[in-house]
Amino acid sequence: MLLTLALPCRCVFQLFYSFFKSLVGKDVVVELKNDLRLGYLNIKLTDISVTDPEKYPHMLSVKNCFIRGSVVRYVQLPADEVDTQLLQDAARKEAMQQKQ
Amino acid sequence: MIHMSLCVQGTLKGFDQTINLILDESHERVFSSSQGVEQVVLGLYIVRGDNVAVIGEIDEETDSTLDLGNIRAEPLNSVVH
Repeated sequence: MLLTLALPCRCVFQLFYSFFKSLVGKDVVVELKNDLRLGYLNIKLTDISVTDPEKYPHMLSVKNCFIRGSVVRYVQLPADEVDTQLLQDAARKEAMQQKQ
Repeated sequence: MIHMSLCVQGTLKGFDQTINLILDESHERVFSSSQGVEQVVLGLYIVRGDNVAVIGEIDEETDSTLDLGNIRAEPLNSVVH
């Protein structure tokens, strides 16, 4: 499913906001804290499909949805879309800046 | 104590930044592993944003093809932080 960002975050999370912005238009999987898996950061998903529709038919008629940030356990990202080295370096720099 | 997530369907009349919702003509879809889906009419609801996990837009076309009587599923777990 396509991931689009719904609400802007505070500047503390600016780095990850930009990171997620770079994911807009890519396919992701979102796992929620109540074990439902679909394909302070709210997420808007378009064209969703549930990973196990037999076990979770609750969302069968839903194509687009909004997910409250506080219930997201994690977001699975396609590995080839993520440059972990770059992200680590950027996060380290951000943390240094925060300290100052 | 057993906690579950509710699946409530209705017309979204309003919302705010904290995701408080106004839901009109709402009904709850109760899923069970032993019998088909039961719809419980609720009416006009105001839901506090803290309790909202997901808001899904219902695709009327797909929804009308669902055979609710034949769907068997466990109720969704409640959110554990």
